[in-house]
Amino acid sequence: MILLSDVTKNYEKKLVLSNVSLAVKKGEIVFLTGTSGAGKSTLLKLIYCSERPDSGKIVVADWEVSKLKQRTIPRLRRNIGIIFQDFRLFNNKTVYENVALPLTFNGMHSQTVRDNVNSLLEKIGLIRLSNVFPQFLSGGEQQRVVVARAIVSKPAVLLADEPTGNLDPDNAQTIMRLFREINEQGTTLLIATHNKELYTGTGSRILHLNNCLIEEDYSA
Amino acid sequence: MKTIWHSLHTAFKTIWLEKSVHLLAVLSISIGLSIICAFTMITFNMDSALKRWSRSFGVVVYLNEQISKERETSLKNRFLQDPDISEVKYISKEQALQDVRKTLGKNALILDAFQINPLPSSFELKLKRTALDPLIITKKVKAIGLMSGVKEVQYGEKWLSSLSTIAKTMKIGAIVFGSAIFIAITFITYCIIKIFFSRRKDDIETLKLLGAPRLFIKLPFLIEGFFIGAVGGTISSLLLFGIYAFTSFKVAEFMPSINLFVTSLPLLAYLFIPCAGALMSLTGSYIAVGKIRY
Repeated sequence: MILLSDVTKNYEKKLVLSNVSLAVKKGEIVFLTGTSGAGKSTLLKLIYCSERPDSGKIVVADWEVSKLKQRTIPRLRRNIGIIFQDFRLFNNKTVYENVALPLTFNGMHSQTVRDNVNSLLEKIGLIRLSNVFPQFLSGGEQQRVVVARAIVSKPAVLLADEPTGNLDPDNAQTIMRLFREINEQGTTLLIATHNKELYTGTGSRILHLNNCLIEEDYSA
Repeated sequence: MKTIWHSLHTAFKTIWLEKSVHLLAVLSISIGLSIICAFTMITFNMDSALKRWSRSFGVVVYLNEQISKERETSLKNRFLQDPDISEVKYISKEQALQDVRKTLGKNALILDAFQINPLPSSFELKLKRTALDPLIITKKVKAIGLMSGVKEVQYGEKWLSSLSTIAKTMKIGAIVFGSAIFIAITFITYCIIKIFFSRRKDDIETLKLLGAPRLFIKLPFLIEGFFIGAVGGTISSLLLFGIYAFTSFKVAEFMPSINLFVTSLPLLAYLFIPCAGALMSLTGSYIAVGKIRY
């Protein structure tokens, strides 16, 4: 589902990723770990084509991302759910509108949008806040909205950058349960995190980034 | 459909939230359009005045004393066949004398001093509006003057020339002025939409990352531009009609002759103004949004 081969990325002569290769199978849950600045976020950005690699090849669900034309990028991104570290919520839209947005791009029928969004908000405990604007929510609530927005369209791939960074252990577990649920429906997950509790003992695959390379690839 | 609905919702939400800036833009556009419309109205009135006056514009062809009846008929036929001439009227010597007597009134006695009728017979030619160009007329008059049996050709050369110059200047002025206003309105909208676009840079970036299609990102800005242009145009259209109505109803009460000079623009023109404003504004916002790069 996700394939990186010999990917190198520099930021103004600072090497971030050096000849990184990895393969994530369809339906797999992979945790990307590493210290701050190890290149976890950059790797995710390369996958959703927010950054272009200096060299190497990236393939996501049959799309050769490294060679993707401008007009095709939105189509790729509509097949990827992204949980941003900095949330990127729309403050002029309510919780409901934020979550419903990806479904609007796909031209889904209003009633179906309403049903999907409400059932998801119910599941993550945000239904009572559906008409509230994000700036009036706590960090944890905002994070849950971001997660809901990323998974509402049941994407083929879900990329999460510190998805539980602002959550208490209970809410973190709720989110992880949601991830597993969506994974059972066939979505491939790549989660960048510092939170060991999320993967310890789960048997999930761990990729540890260090010194611009994938230093370890093991099961938790 | 979803995209259009969402864009309309986003655009009008922004317009409502940024009322004052949008109001300012609408006023600027309506002022600009009102100026150009007023200028167009003056040009239109000048043009219709020219049309009215041209109906009475004529060329008088005086004939030789010894001209034969056959030659007169041949000249008349020639004038009738001329595509630039709309009307041909023959005035005999006797008719001319009678007309002069009528004009002189009590002073007509002076004509009795002449033993023979001194006035020549003539043709009065009315020209079509398309031929009312000083260059065409000069050429035509010269050609008529060279015809056998023609003594002299007279027409209001200076009058026609100055009227034609004024009309041409007004038309060129309207085009130059119109272009300047077009650029100004486009620029106003460009600046406003550019400011909003920059302010919403983060949101646009997020939309791009979520895979929003280009149209989904652009359309709210284009709707905003279209809206402020259309409203600005409607205001200036109403203002223009108001000025016309005030002039022809209220001012005419004290100065009835004003209705001879003031003509309203065609109804279609009042509908065209908001469309023109919307188009100008739309152009500005289209340039401001530019190409969305992912």
